[in-house]
Amino acid sequence: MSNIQLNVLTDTETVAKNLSNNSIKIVEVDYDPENAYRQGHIQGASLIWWKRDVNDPITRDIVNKAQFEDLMSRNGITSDSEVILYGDFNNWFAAFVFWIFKYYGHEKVKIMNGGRKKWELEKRTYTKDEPQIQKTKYISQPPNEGVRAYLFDVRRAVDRKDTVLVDVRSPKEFSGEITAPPEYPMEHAQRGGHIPGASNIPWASAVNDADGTFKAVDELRKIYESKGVTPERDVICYCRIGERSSHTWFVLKYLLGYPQVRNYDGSWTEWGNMIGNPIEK
Amino acid sequence: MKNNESDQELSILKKGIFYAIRDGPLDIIMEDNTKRGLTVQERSNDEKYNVEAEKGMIYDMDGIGHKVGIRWYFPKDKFTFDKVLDCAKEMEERYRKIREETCPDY
Repeated sequence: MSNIQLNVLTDTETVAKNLSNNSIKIVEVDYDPENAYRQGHIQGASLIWWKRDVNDPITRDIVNKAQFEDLMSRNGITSDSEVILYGDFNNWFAAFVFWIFKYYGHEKVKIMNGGRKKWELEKRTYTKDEPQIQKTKYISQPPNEGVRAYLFDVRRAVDRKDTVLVDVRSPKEFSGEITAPPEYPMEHAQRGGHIPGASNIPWASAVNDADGTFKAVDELRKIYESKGVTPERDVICYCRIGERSSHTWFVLKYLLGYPQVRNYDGSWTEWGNMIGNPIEK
Repeated sequence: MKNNESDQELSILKKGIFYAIRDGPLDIIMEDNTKRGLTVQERSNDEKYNVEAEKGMIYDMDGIGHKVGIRWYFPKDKFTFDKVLDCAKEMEERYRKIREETCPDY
């Protein structure tokens, strides 16, 4: 691993050796905690549930600064804590939460490469015991809007040559053949297709299928540069609800070190539902 | 895992808006049309009908996955066509009620 990667990635072996290290906070991030965390998780890991913990309960938005501070407090995290995130669904939601940590300026946060998938492939142990957590006092930084793209940013970006939109959904979603797989009836949009000019580079291009780990940097660079996603351009990633795109955002910003990468968390469920938005098929 | 594709070779004995009943070699097969396209994750006993069923996962508003039946295999030596049709009609009625509640002018 390069120095950049060492700051943001850790591996299952390192986590397994540090289960009793109190300076590290392990957090499982799940889309579906009933079928993941509650069935077993890494010893000492607390749970962040994507739906409940990082989204505002009423408005469609991520948690605000006060809600984030409360979430950190409930998970026993201080602003100096080294946090290791991992989770279900190929770390998509762990990456989404990593993005929120960076949005609120948390310095020391890493993703466990391969997430639950690799941990389970290696037949490492889980527990159903939930950790006793002592609440902390957490003060976050103000939001860093430089990592987030909003609808108006994306509208402005559509005709700009210095900005590239990366659609990380499957080719069938990109072409408009489907708006979401049948497993996700709550995540559809009124229209199918993609944002005009976007490049389709599915999130999975960045991972090794066998164990869900990230591909080597040289390989990643080839994948994105061959599609015109180069470091001198501004990059905006999007998917359906913003979680797969945060996975690609992580790759581009932290594994490849691109200077200007934003995640459009409104993604297709916002763009494809807005009246009058231009769509390509 | 395999894709959710019914065996098109099997003739359809009866069709509703929300169901199809197919004639299998050993079973009468009831399909839930609303689960079309869902990936089959397992084949196991269905407690409601006490027959084997192919099941998939649907994620709700909170992201929690729920196993749902896609296709039920009623053994011919235990079930008549009329009995399976009763099950299919009950399923159809359930979906009709949901549609009436959510899209009354459909």
